Amino acid sequence: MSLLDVRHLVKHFVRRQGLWRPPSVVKAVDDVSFTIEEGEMFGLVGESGSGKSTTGRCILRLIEPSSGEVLFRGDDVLRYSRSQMREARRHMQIVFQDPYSSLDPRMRVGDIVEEPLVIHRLGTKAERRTRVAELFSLVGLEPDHLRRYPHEFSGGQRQRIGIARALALNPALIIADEAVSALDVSIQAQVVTLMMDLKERLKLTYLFIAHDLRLVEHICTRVAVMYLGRIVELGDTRALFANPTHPYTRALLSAIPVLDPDTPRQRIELDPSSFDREAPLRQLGAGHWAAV
Amino acid sequence: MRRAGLALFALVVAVAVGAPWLAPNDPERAFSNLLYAPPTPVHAGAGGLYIHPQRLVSRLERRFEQDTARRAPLQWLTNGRLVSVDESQGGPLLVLGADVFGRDTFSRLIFGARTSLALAVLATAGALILGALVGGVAGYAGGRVDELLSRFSEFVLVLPAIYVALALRAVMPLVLPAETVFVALTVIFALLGWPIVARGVRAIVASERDRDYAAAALAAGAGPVRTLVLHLLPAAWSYLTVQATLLLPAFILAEATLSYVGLGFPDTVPTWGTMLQDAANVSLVAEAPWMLAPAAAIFIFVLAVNLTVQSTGRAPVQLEP
Repeated sequence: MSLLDVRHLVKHFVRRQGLWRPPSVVKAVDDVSFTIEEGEMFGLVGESGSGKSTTGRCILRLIEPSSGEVLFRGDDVLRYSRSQMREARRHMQIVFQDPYSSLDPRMRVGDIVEEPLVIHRLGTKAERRTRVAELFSLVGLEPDHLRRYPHEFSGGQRQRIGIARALALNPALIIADEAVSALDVSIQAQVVTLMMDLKERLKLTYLFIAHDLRLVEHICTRVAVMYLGRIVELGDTRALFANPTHPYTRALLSAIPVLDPDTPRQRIELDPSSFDREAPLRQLGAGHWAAV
Repeated sequence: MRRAGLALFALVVAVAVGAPWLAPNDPERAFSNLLYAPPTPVHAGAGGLYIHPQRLVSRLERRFEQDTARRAPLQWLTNGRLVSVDESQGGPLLVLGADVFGRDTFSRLIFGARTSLALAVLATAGALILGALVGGVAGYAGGRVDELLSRFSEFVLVLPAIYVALALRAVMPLVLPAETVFVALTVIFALLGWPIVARGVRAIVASERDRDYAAAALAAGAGPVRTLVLHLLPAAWSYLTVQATLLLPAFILAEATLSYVGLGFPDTVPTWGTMLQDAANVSLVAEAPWMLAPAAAIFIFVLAVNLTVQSTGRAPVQLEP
């Protein structure tokens, strides 16, 4: 059984435009399906507005999907009652993109990391404090800094606090929603190394949402490419990067900056009329699908 | 600054609480020969502090004369009062002069602090709590709930407050015991004060709830109540403190207005409002400026509140929208 099985996930945002005009519908996530196996690092890439963050948030029901199924260890979390969902949240957590707005500026960081434990009534006060200190050292922060406020930390440190909060409940799945995109390149490397390290130590599974393709190529085992709410190509990282099939994937991969200035860049412009947006995913090879 | 504010606040509260002990005279006692009598300056000399007895020279011109030949010593800790001057010795001691009935302004001022402050503080707390709850729920829930609560608070907001207060008070019997008036005014003020608070809180909560830390709380399993009360409403804290500094003096003055038209406290109950109404006369202010003491008291109290709440190291103060 897969750890996470997303089937035909749809999220339409309906925007009212006054009394007399019909509401407009934005198909943020349009029939998205994929599975993530236990222990996998699954990358979800695409440009801004392609619906990758919405997909991540729909899985956690931070946004209620319009339809579809999200099977976590075989159970559809979208059918869960409020109390079942609260219980399920112990096993799936999220790390946000923006290290500034994701931490309550009015709470001490120790309380921020402790909050999930308080909500789920785990342990006594003293046990929770010990656990928070543990988590702090786990993500490479000084346990002495527990009583500080978020603004006293740098972006990279704040992201570590966000990771510590996500780990507090010992989850199986972490949705990293552009978790490193807002950081400097050197800090990015540190945080990614930390996440990889934690993956091994705590047997975590990641849904890694990103737009940095080189990073994804480096760390993910499988990748799905999203374009305008749909997955246009999905496959093992190596196969997909070696042999991109969908025109959008090709254009996206050609946009990766090249380090050597002498190498001529072969930028492929995307022609939206060159492919059928409604085309279903078709298997091309072992573990490689594309909507062509 | 915060410490200075707290000290000032504590001082005002202590004076109000200790009024029966601190007041040199009975606030109800009318000295018939001392209508609009000026303050009696305290002098220091051999034998301690003393005042010169005051004598009425012309009732028509309200002219008083100090008998500098005689000395009336201040008596400490007699008759359950901190300091007073016995009438037989040449009293009374009038720190802030006397009012239209010859009552001691200072004694009335510190007795009035009890009623005025308790009323204003309770009504402000009521308005803030009600406003924060309604605004918080509206901002958090959004959609229809927001529409409904927002339109309702706007409806209350456009009602001309003073007439509503008058009408609400007027449906009650004209003569009520002071305790009933106190409760009635507190409720009326709270019911009139909450909408502006609710509007501001709604805006703050609505914008804060889209930030990731609110989503993080939900992802951790927090319910709407926890998210709202522990994460979102604290964002409105500085707004609420500013509203408190605006509502407190407004309620003190509202009590004064209602008392003036006869729907607040009767004149026998000393409050800063009833006292200020006595001073609502231009010529009087020139002749008996000590009658404005309640205004100074309101100023000091609001200053204390301002210093205390606005320097708590929170986000920059957000002014009224």
